[in-house]
Amino acid sequence: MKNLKIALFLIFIMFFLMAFGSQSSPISADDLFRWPDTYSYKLNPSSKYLAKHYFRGENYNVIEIQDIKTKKIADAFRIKVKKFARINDYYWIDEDTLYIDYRIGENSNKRIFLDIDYNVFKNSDNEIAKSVEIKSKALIIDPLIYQDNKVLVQKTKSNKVTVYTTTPDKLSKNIFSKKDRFQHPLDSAIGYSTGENGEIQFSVKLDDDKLQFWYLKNYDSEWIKLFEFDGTDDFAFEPVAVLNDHTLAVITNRETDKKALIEYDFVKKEFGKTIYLHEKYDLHSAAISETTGELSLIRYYDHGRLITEYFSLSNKQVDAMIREKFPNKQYYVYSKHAGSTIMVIYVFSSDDPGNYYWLDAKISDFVNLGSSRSYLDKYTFSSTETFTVKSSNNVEIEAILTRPKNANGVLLVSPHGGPIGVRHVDSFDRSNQFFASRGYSILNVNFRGSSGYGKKFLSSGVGQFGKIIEEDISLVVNKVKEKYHFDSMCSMGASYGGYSALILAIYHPDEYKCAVGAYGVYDLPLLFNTSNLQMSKDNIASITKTVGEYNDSLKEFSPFYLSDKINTPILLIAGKDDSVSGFEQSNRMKYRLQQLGKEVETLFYAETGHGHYSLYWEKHQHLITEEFIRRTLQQDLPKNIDRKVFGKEAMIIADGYEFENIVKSDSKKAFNFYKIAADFGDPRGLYNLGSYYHRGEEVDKDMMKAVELYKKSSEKNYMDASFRLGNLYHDDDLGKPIYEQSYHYYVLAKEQGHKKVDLKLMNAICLGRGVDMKLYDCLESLDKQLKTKIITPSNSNGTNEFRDILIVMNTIKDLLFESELSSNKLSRVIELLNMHRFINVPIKSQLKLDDYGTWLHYRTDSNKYRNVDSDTKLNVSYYHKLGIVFEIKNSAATDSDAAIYKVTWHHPPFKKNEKDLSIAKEEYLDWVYFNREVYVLYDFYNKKETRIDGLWKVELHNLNGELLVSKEFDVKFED
Amino acid sequence: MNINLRLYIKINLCFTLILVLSGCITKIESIKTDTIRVLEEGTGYLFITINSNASFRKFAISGEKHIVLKKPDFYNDVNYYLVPVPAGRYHIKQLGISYGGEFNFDEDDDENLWGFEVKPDIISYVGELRIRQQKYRYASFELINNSSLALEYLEEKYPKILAKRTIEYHGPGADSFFDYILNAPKVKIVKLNEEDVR
Repeated sequence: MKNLKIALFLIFIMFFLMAFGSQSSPISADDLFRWPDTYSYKLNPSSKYLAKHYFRGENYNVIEIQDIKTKKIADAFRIKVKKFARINDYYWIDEDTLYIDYRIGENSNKRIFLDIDYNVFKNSDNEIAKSVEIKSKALIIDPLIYQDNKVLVQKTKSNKVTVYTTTPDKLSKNIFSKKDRFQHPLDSAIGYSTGENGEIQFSVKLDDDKLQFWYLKNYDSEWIKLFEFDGTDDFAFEPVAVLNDHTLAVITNRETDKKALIEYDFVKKEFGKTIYLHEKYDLHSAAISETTGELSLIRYYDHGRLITEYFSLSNKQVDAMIREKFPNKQYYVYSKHAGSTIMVIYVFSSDDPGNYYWLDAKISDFVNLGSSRSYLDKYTFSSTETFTVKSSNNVEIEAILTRPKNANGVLLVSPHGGPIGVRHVDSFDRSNQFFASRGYSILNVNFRGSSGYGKKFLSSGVGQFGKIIEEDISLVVNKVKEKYHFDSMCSMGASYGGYSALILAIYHPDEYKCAVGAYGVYDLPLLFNTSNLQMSKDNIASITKTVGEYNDSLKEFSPFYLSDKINTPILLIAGKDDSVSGFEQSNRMKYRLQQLGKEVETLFYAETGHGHYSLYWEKHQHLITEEFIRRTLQQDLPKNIDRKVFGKEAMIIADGYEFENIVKSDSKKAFNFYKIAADFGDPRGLYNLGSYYHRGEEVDKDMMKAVELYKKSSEKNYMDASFRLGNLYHDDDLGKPIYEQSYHYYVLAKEQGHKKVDLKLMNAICLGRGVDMKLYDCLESLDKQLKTKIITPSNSNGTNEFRDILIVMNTIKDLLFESELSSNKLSRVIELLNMHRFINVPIKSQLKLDDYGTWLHYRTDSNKYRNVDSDTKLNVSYYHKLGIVFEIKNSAATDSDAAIYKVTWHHPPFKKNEKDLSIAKEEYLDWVYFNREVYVLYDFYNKKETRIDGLWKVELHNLNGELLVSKEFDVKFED
Repeated sequence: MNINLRLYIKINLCFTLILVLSGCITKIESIKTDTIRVLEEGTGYLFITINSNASFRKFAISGEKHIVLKKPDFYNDVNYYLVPVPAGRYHIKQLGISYGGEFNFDEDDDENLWGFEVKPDIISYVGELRIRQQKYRYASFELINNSSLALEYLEEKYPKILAKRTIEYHGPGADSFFDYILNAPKVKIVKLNEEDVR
């Protein structure tokens, strides 16, 4: 009983700690800036089976089939994720066939039909589906899921579009019959779509640069033009449904301030009755029931939350059921077939990345299918509060405040881009959650000019850069500050948000302690003069609709021209290929701030436009931004940080500066962030920091410090550190070799999974370095290496392969010549070499020197050489090579047999590196094919330290130690 | 006249035409040293940048004179041309990309997309010609105002010339960046030695 009580107490403590920990730890940026691992669920036509598209680990993109009744799951299709390979799209064609479009290369797509065999599926997890490649390039307009074995496709040939009702089989074989052709085509149509009955009802064509939409009531009637766009219309017109022979239901704001659902008589070209108008908000979308012709649902954003209102009783009941189940959440129906009560819904909110649920509305049965981002399941997210502030002239401004549970007293004011026609929504926002989890509060304001609040609200933001827009933001900021206390405040944003961030700092220098402008505009007149192409009439008109008229007064609202008023540190982020704002905007802002001696830092990404496509670099940008804000505000790190996570994040910043990538290299910054990572105990951070001390880069060279850091890294299982320590103790880098230590670290590296350490261990075992010599193990290991390494005289110098081969051959050389083997053991080594086609040159007579014997090789012309007399003093330059030419005769040798011998160079002593070790002899094993001209040359190029006057001698020995040839050169180096 | 004679005359006419035309073409390269030169009367510095993802082999401008700018000795993503040319109106005429074909720019287009001006005695920055070759014979072009990048380049490579000469933007549109920056306080000043002026 006592034990049970203790156990319960421990469980309670564990839960408490887990709950506390999940609330207070910053969320790993690695987890936040990742694509969803589950993309979608799609019900098959009978709603008995579900197809799920998701990532399995990092390697596979999978579509699996789930039997809803039995819960059985099996893979239907999977593709190995490579650089470009992934599933683009999929949907059900009929009860047991999926259409899948997937990518296999940069410009290479494949399309297949996948036939699911439910009988096999019942009993097996494997091969439940067979795929058929679609050879035709025709587009599927409608899969006609309720018509067995039929699909509706459109085929384009010489700009002519033809529609066919065909079968999956014919489509896959690229067979099209005249009889399958659609009999009522619209002249010059570029695309068709169907109504709910699966018949062609709509078409689109281009006529004199106008996009026209056409309607076909049924196959006995004529095509009727519904409406046309020429791109100059400044009102919304989004068709929702055809109500009758002459009426459309459209979402438009042509006649109203707010986007409303209105009848449109497309014959008379007149707007009619208003079907639905929200008093405060633009309609986002709407649906009309095709069966009843009644309004089915409308959607709009209220304080950034997606609201769906249903109108039929049954839908209202389902909606109420879902709302009761998920209070304070938003949802939408993801997959549902007409007439069925079964559906897949997606439920989310600002503090919930989203979960899929299977729902049978008839029996109110919910099944959680899983989250869209399973790797975020372990976190608790910060919630938002939304509110409205009234301006002096009674305009309502909505805002969203994300507040963390452990606030650090910093408010980040983050205006959106645009600024016209863009808005914040109150859904899961990874950027806000990133900052909130690190203690920051984030304020988003839907200032005048934002979309969703009607035409008047939208247009009232036009030309209000630095005016009404910032007044609205400041109004909301003051309201928030009345409610909550903040120690400090920074502004940050992208695009227009970047402009706003800087102008807010200019207008309120005492309030904003830092500002971050990303991909922003700072010189408003420059917007009209960015480039020759962007100065087209249409583009200038479009810019005017946002910025207002082009005139000199724009300078009064341009941060560039107001730079002298900036008193806070600025971080400017930009993409060098930004064709929206233009990189020049950020660069000239930087130039002016630097000219004025202001505090400005930059993060300019190469190969980047108006933001990142890559989540890795988006993560990088957020990490840099947060580090800048924290450093500027002298904020402490958040409490209860996961040191591992923070170490890894410092590594992302450091690597950005260290390696060739889209960030400008900066070894000083790289060093500093590796140091931070090392302080957090990151294994690679410790290793990389150690290598800075090792190289003496950014710090004085300090081998002791380097070894200390490598050891810490090795202790944390970083195999490269163990391997490097093995090398350092093996070679003479630390003064003299310490083979026991070297062997210890090589063994450790092997245990830690290092792939290249086998050669080093082989070397140690063969030569008894740090471990007892084991000839049997040595020969076995050598045999393995000689079998796997492609050792030919043509192996290119400098490659990894060549370096490996050198280790093998040097091991053999030391084994033969340094380890004083008995003659019996020696012959076993030579026997092994012979087995691998390396034939000892046993007798001197086999080696035939060139007629003159000694020669100079000219780097500048490989065919030129000069025979020299041994007694003559040679004048040698850095581009010369010194050596001998010869041929080894062996009539019995095959083409692949190689002669092996030892080369020894005796020369005047020189220092090979900084240490006081004089080198006067170099030895290596060389191998060449028989019966061919061979060179043994000493290369002075790039080796200044070797250019020493005096007597140079080259000797060749066979493996038994017999001298084959010896030549001397009296060398004098030229300047 | 038999056919061979006709061909002979045609070929000769072509050669004559080429010789006459080539006499009007001036081939010049960017100045390489930062030394102050006395410009001929009516001449100014044209400063243009070419930013290309493909190496180019020919770049010609036309106007006061037909000028072919010599391709750089080494291929870079960004190539800067600071060249003295007779003052006047010019337009980008022709651009040849290695393995990409030759592109002619229309001088009579409505919006004079590829036109610029070179003023006497000063440095006229006209923009950065950005070339993006997508595939063989397909490339996009844009003349972009990158004045601050251009100024940074001149400050680094040609500080003496920059200190001696006014720089103005004469590419597409209008821009007061140079005027504002160079007349604003805290401009970096390069002191000139007597021997720099030749």
